[in-house]
Amino acid sequence: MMHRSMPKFLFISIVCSIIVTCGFCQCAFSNETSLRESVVKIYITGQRPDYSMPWQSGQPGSGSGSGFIIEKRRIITNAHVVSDVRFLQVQKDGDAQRYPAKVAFIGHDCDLAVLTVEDETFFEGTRPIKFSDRLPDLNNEVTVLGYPTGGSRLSLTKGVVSRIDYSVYSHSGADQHLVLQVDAAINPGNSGGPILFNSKVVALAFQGLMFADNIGYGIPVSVIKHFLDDIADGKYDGYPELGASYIETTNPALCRDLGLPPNKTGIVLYYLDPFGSATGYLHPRDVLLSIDGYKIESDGTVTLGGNNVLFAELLERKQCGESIVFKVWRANSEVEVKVPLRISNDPFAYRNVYDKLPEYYIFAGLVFSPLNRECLRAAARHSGENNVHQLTYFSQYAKIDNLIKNSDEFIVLIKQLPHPVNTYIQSFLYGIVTEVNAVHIRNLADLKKAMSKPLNGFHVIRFAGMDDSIILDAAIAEKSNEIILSRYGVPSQEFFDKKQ
Amino acid sequence: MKMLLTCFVIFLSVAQCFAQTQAQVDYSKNIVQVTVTFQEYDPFLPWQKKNTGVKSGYGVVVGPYEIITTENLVRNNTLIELRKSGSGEKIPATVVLADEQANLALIKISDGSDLQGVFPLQLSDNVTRNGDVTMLQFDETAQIQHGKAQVVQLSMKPLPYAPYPTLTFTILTDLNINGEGSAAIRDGKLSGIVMSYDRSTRTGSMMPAITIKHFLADVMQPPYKGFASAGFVWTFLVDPAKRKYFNVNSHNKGILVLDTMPGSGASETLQSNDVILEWDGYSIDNLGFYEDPDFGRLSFIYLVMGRRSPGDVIPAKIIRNGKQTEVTVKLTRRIDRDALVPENITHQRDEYIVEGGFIIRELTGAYLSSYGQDWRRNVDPRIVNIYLTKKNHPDKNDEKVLILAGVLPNPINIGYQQFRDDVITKINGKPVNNITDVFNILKKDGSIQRVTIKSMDVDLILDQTMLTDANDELAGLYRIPNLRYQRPLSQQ
Repeated sequence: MMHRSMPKFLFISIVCSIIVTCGFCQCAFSNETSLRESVVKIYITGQRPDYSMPWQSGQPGSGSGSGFIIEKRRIITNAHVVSDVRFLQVQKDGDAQRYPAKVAFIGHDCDLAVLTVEDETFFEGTRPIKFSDRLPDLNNEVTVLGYPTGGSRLSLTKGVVSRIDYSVYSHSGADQHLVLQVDAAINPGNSGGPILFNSKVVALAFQGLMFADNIGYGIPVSVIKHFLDDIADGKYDGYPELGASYIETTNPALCRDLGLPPNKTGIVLYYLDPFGSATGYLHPRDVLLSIDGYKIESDGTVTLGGNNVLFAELLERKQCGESIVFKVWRANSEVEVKVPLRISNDPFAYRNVYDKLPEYYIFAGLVFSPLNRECLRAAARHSGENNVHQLTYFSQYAKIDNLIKNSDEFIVLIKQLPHPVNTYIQSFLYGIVTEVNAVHIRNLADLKKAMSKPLNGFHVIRFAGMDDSIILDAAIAEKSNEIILSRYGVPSQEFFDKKQ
Repeated sequence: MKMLLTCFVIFLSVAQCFAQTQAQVDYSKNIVQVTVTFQEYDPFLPWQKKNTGVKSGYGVVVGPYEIITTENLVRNNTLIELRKSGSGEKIPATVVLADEQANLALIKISDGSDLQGVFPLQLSDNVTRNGDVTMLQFDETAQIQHGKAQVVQLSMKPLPYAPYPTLTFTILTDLNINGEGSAAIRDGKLSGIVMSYDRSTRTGSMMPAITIKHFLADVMQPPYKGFASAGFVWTFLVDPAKRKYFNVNSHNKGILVLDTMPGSGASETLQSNDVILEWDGYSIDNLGFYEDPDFGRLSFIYLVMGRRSPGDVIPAKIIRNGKQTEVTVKLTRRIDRDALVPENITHQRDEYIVEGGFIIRELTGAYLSSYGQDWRRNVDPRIVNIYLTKKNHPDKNDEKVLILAGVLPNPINIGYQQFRDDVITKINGKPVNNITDVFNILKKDGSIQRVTIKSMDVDLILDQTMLTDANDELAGLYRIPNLRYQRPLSQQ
C-alpha cells in the first residue's frame, strides 16, 4: 500500500547510481599492502542511555572497529562504530601505541563519521587513501581491509561486487541509500574498513545480513563523498527530504482525471509533509513531469546513464541549501517549480537516536518522556495493551492523519515509580498525554508548566483515546516528589536538552 | 410456532413432575449428543465460504422436541444432528433461536423426524457457590459417562467466545470434558451446562440453569427480548484521590461512569464522570460488586442481565458534579450493529461490493481477528486503533468504517493494486458513512467512478468504458458468483 509505506519514503533519500564513465585511472600507482599503515583499528567504549530510566545510562560496553586515513589527517569510519562514545582510541597496524581520538563529524543517517587525532605523530608514515571517482562494476574484484574478529592484526579478504542496490541503513533504521554488496567476508570489526578496487576506495564496509552467507555490504563512494562534501562547511546537515508522497500514474483513467495529456508522464503527489522541503512549493494533485531535466516515467523512474532508477535518486546528490527543479503539471498547464532543499528537522520521524540524552520529566513518580524509537521498542514488548497500539498508530500516521496539529512532540507516560500517590495508574502506561489541568500539552515543557498549576487541589491528566483520567491529590503529590526521587535514586526530576 | 411453544410449556410442567419420579441414576434419556457441521464466510473473500468443519457437543432435553445447548456450538451450522445414548441413529435438528450475547441456543428436531424415548430434565434453581455436581457426557461408544465436578466459584465473567458478561460457575473436574453443552446435575436437576473446559488446568466454565430458565421463558413469550445490557462503560473507584475529586464521601461505595453507549437507555440519563452509588436498590461498592440476597457478592452487572430485562427502568443513586442525585436508566439490549465497528462474532454474512476489482466492505471485529492471533501487530495500525479506541463511538448514527479491503488485480486497477485496508471517505465524490450509503450511490450513479481514501488528496479513478467488461472478467476469473451483496432489509 503506497501511503502506508509513505512514512518510510519520507525519510528515504536514495543515492543516485550514476556511473560516470571515466576513461582510465590516472592515479599514482600504489598497491594494496602499502595501504596497510593507513587502515586503523578503533577501540571504543560506548554507553547508551537507559531509556526506561532516562536519568541514567546503561552498562558501558567496549568494542573495536576499523577506519582509514583520508586527506587532511582525518580518519573515516562508520557512525555506528563511534556512536554514544565515552572513550576512543585509534591504532595503526604494527604500532603498539594507541592514540586518543575525537569524533569530529557524525552522520547517523548515512552511518559515517570522521575522527581526528590530536597527536600529529600518529599520522607519520601514513598516506591518505584515495577515493575512486566511480563505482565499480559487477564482478569487479575488490579487497576488504580491516580488523575483524578472529585475531588482532590487519585482515585482508577478497571478493567480487555482487550487486549494487538500495537498502535500509540499519544504524538509523529508517534511511535508505545505495549499498554495494560484495561476497568477500565482512565480519564484526570490519565496520569502517575500506573496500578497494585498483587500490582506491570504492566503499566502506558497514553491515552484513543475518542468516545468509557471503553477503556483505559497503557504503559506496557516492554516499561517502556526499557526507564529506556536507561537512566541508564545518557542520553536518544530512540529506534533504522532499517530503512528498506519490502514487504512480500508470492508470490511464487517473491520468485523464488529472487532465494529463497523453504525451506526458509523471507521478502524482497526494500528500506533502509539513517538515519536507517541498511543502509550500509542491501541492497535492501536482504531477511531477521531470526532475532537474530528467523525464519522470509513470512509475516514478528516470533514465540515468542508461539505467532506470527512481527519481528520488537525483535528490541523493543534493546538499541542503541547494535547489531542485521540477516540471509540474498543475491545473491543466505545465509550470516549473524550483524547490530549495532545507535541513529536515522532523520531530515525528522515529529514527534510532544516538549521542543524545533522553528528555524526561518526573512528577509524583510518573515518568514522562517525548515519544522516540526506544520508547516504541520498549512498548512493543507489552504488545497486549491498547495504549501500545495507539503509539504505533501515532508514530506511523502522525503527519498524514494530522495527529500533530496540536503537538510539537508526543508526550508519553513511560514509567511509574511506585508510591502510594500513584498506585492506581497502571492502565495509563504508554498513554499519550493530551491535557494536564485543562491545559493542552504540546511538548514536555508545557507538561512541566501545567503541573505547577493544579485545579482546585487536584492534578487531572488526560490521555489520547482514553475516557479515564489520572487524578492526583496536588498536596500529596507535591510532598511525594522528593521522597520518590530519593527512594528510586533519581538525581534530577527532569532533563531538558537545551540544544534542541 | 406459537402452537409449538404452547405445547412445549405444558409438556415442560408435566415433564418436570415426571422427571422427579425417574430413577436419578440414569440420565441417558435426558441428554443427546449434538454434532454440528459448520461453515463460516471468508472475511477476505466475502462472497465465499471457508472449508467446512465439524464440532461435537451436547444438548439437554427440555421439551418433547426441544434441546438446549450453547450458541457457540451451533454457530454457522449447515447441519445439526442429534444422537441418543447407546444409539447410532442421527436425527437432524434446526435452531429455533440462538443468542450470541447469552451463548444459548434452543434447537428442535426437524419436522418429520422423531426423537423417541427422551425425557426433559428439570432445571435447578440452586446457585450455590460450592459443592459437588455430577457431569454427564458420552464416551466413544455413545454410552453415558458420569464424573464428579466441584463448583469453586460463582461470578460474572465474559463468555468464552464473546465479549459479553454472564453469570458463570467455575468448576474443577477430573472428567475430560469432551464437548460444550455437557450437563451438570445436582439433586437430580440440571445445575448448568459447560461452556468451555481447559484440559491443562482441569477447570471449566459453566452456565447456571437459572440463566437457561430466563432464556427459555423469554423464548416462550415472543418477541424475544434478550438479555439487558447496562449501556455504559465504567471503572473502579478505589483511588482515594479520585474519590475525593468526585466528592464521594461514603465509604467504599461507588463506581465511575466513563462513557455511555450510543443508542442505549443509559446514554439518555447517565453522563461520563457520574458516580453510581446505588443501582436498583442495591448499594454498589467501589469495585462494582453488590450483595445479592440469593447468591452473595456479585458484580452489579448481574442486576442488569440476570435480574432484569430490556425495557425495565432502573432507579440509580448517583453523584453528579459533586452532588448526590437520583436518575432512572432504561435498560436496552446491546445491538452489535450500533457500534462504529461491530464485532459480528457470529460471522453473519458481510455486505460487500466488488467493483473494478476493489473489494469494499465495512470493518468488523471478526474481520480483524481473521488476521490471526497477532492481528493487533499485523494489521494496518490505523484501523487497529479505530477498533481499540473508537469502536463504540460513532460520530454519527449509523456511522461505520468503510474500507477498501483489497484489490483483485485486473488491467482496470493498474496503479492501485497496493491498496489494502484503507479507510474510504467518499465514493463518486460523495461522503459515505457506511456501505448502505455506497449501495444508495450505486442505485443513482450505476457504478463506482472514483474512490477517495482517507488523508489522500488524489482519488482512485475507474475507467468507466472498461468497467462492465472488467467486472465480468473479474467475476469469471476470481469466481465471484455475486459482485455485490446487500443484506435484505428484514435482516438489518
